[in-house]
Amino acid sequence: MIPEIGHYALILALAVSLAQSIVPLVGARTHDPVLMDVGTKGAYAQFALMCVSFGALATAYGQSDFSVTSVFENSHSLMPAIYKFTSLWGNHEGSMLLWVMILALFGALVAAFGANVPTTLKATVLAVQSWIAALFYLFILITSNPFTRLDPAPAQGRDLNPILQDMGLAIHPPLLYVGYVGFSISFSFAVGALIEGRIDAAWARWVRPWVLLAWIFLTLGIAMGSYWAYYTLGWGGWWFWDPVENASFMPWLAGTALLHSALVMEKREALKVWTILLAILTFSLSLIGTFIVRSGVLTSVHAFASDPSRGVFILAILALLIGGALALYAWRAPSLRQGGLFAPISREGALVLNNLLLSTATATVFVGTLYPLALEAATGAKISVGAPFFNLTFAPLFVPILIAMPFGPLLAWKRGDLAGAAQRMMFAYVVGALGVLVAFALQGKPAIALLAIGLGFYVIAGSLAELIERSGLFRVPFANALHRARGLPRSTWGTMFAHIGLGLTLIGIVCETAWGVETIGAYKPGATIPIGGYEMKFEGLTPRKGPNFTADVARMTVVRDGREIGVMEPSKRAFATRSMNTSEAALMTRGLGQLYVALGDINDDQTTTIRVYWKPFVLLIWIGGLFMAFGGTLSLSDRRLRVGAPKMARNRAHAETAA
Amino acid sequence: MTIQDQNQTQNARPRVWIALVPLAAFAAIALLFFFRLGAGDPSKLPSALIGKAAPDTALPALATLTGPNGPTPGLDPAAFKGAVTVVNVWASWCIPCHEEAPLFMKLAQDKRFRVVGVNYKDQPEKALGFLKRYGNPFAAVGVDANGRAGIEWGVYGVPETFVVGRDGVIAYKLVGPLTPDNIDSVLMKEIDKALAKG
Amino acid sequence: MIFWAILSAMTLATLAFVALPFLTRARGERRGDDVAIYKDQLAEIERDLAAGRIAPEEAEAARIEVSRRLLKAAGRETAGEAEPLAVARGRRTAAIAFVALALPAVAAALYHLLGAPWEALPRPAAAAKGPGGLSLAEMVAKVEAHIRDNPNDGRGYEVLAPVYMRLGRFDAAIGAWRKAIDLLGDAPLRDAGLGEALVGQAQGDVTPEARKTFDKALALDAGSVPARYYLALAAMQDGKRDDARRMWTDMLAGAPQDAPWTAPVRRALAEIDSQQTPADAPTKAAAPGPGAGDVAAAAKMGEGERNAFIRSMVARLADRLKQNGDDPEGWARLVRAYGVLGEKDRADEATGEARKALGADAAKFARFENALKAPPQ
Repeated sequence: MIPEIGHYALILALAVSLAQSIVPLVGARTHDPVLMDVGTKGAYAQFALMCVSFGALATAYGQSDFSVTSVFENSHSLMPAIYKFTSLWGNHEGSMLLWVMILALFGALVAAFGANVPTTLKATVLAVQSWIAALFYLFILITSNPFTRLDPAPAQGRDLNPILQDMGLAIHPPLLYVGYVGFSISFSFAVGALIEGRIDAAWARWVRPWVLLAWIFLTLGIAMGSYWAYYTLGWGGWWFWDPVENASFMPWLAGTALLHSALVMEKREALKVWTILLAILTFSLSLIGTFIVRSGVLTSVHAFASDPSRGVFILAILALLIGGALALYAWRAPSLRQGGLFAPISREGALVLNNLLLSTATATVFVGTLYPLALEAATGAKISVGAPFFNLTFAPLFVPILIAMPFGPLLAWKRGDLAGAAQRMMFAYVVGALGVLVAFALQGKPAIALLAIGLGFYVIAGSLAELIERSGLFRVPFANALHRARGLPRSTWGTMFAHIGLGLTLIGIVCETAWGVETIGAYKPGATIPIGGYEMKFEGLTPRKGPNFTADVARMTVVRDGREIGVMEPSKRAFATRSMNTSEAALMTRGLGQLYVALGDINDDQTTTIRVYWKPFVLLIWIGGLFMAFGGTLSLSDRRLRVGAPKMARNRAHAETAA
Repeated sequence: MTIQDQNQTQNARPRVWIALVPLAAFAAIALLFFFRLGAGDPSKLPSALIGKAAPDTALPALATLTGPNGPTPGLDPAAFKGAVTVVNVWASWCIPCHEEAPLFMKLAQDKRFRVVGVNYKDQPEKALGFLKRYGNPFAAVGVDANGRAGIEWGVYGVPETFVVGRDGVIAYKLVGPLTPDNIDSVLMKEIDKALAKG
Repeated sequence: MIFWAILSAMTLATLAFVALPFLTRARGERRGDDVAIYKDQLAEIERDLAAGRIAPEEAEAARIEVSRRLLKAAGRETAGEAEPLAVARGRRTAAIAFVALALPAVAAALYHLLGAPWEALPRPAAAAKGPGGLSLAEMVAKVEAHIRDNPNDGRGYEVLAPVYMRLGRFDAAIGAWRKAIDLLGDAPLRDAGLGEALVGQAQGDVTPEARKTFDKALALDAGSVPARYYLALAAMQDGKRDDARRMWTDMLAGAPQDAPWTAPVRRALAEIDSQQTPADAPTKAAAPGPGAGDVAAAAKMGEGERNAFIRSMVARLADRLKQNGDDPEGWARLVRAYGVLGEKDRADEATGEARKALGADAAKFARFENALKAPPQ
């Protein structure tokens, strides 16, 4: 009964979204608060219904109710309880349900916390959100229904892909989806503004917190996904420029540009075109990403099973939403009023440069991801575009961003003093040069890595510049400086942390790429493998049994300077129900670097292929991501974002339209 | 109207065209997606061996296997010359092979070409059991126990089916099982092409 | 039924909630705090100026820009938009009517199309819980604990093994059955259970080892259902279709009225019948022996005519078999036909030729002999 209740809840949510697509819009056009309020209530109703629906499916998974097709295909009664729950979103149908539930969540959040937004705009935003929701509810019900049933119910499920039975899976998709789907709000705000014909600083102020929220989660989701791939896939890699990874990276790049652009728009009412287009573009990239993953147009380790009928449906949704939004933009663009003026060298100018570079980077990744598709359509040749292309095109674009980044906060609005700013950055150059020297002393080469390390140090030091400047450190007594620093707005701290995070990630990437070492060999028990100053002693293989698999576990003792410092146990697992083997890598963290061991095949002559890596400072990559997310959170909590908080205008001149 | 407004109206017209650019770009991308949707399985890679001579992999026979004309011989590459051959790479542990087996029985009745099999990374008893269950459609079965011959043929998954022409050159490779859909629309077409080449 | 009650309640609750704005006093439109935001921006310009983040002339220019926007915003706020109440009321009535009708209608229609309400009726819930209200996993844990404490209790293994089978843990089931047999000795139930577990482990293949255990079970109980079923399956997997058919048919013949195991046996039989090997199909289609239609026609003829008619058909069959002797059923028909015509030497001759043609394939010859024994079609 529970699955059917969940099914009906989903259908009811669709019905509500249809009503909510129309009524609030009419209310907004006619300034009728009653009709507009239907939007708010509808948003709450949709969210409540989606919770019921999702909960019903989760219950079915938890109880291993194999009469539900989705549960049968993706679960097994022997699976540990947590993975029963997380296998809900390890497949197409379940993950789409999670997707629309988060969409409904954001609608409800806007309804609840959007009190400072004018009622008409809020109603329009909720209506647009409902268009998106209605289209996806339809998509799910028609092509990807997780509530289809099997009669008679099978006695046992088919088990989940073993690679997905992992805590990383528990966290990575929901985080990502909150990011992806969160940008639907900025999309709805943009479309709402275009419909209303009012695109101004106030709009930017209202929209920015939502952009920040989505951006924080997307950052965390991408970082988590990267770390999960790193320790699960057993190759020691953490970014593959896989089409699906790119599909999450592009909204992040565009979202970062949007964040900064909205800042300018709020402050100076400038960069309107940039901001509106970026708001539309970011969510469009999320949607295109959804299309790429689920339509079978591209293959990747991530892609769900390919199904052209789904692809056509999603493409239709894309055409309606993105095409519609861009058409609206084309209609309204000529009447956009010019915003505040500013000189090219100014904080606004720096942010325009930032926009340009980030958008170009987004376009580069986009072209690289879709080029194989286009080429095959044109000439039939199948090629694959991979890391070499992206590294060659993306890295050079990011260098100017990183160089300019610390300058931005130091430049004045409207007209900045570049020379002055450059002077105040002096210590950052020094720190950067110091970084190059340190790297040279420790490693010596290659030159480009040394320079990159210097750049990373420079970015970190430069990010501190604004803080130092505004607190008066080195100019006033320390206690005073501390006091002033604490009084600084949270967004300043947020900016600092986020930019430092980027520098940390850069350093991590450079260290791992340039100075990581790897050995592969076939070893008999008793062999010793030297790597990166450590010695790995291969003790032997032992078989072990897990809840739904059997494993061969290798025991590796780690020795440094003659002292035994630990044991690592990589393994290979064989799963009974799916004839599939996975390799579980073993990781040992030493400072900020990691020793990484993965097993290859067990060969005929009783030797085992073992891959050992030493990755110095690799953890910085993800620590940088955490810093970025933390910085975003600080900014989000800035009191100034909540200026204009609800003060009911009951005593104003507005007539209260009596019911 | 203020001067600023007048300027803005004058600037309006070129801005309309520029404003349409994003929409036009999206339309192009959408069209690309639409055409690629109908294009079939992106994971099907063309075989690098098409147009090259069939590898010279002589393989031993499967012991005690018999056919309508006595014991079934092993794979002899010399036999490729002179007749069109359909080479099926299969194994008893491969589930789709079980599903395509009856189709091969049907295919074997077509006397215009030979059907031979390569038993890939399998155990003889299990292979025999498989053939006993579904019947033996093969004029010859080569046993490739360690997969080395498979490497020569460019096999990266089971099942796969090759069409080898009269000249001993690989004309076509079908990745995946034979299905009622692709047997006529794809495989027979390729076989007919190879037969016509002469 | 409770299920429909729940659905109705959900629909009503949703509708009531969404219609709430029509029923309660409206709060009045919030026009947005543009004014507050712009005032705040002016304040921020002053802060920036004090901190040196903007030069004085730029600050002045910025102040002018913001003030302009502030005035515009303030102007928008005071320009009210009054609307005749009647129009608003009319529109609202239309809206609530639309929602009240459309929402349940759409929901009902979609559920009718997509839902599976029969699944919502209370099921025996055998899948979820066994007797005593324990879930499967709990039962397994309990018995495993019992076994740990009493390792020589064969009954414990006997209880555990079928549970493992249900969970698909064939290795564990095999182990449990073996221990049960070790401790308690062979028995039809235990040996057949072991056989089933072996078959499960081999993914449906009746391995030689499984056959041995089934034979043992059969020796102890000739009527053992699982043993007979799987041995018939083994015959089928060997290509001995007719043996398999015979064994399954025998099972059905002796089955009590509603025995639950008849369904799989029937299914297996249906599968055999539908799964004609390609060699069978063409011959059955092109069988030039007397079919029903022919018999009816022949019945109308006179005796001499009839004999001639039959002879010509038999001659055709003989010719065809000479060209393609790979047809056991055909040979059998020929031999029988000669018998019917009273030509015994021809019948013996045909049997010899059949043996020559089919001899290499023991299975086919067996079919020939079987077909001879079976009643004529």
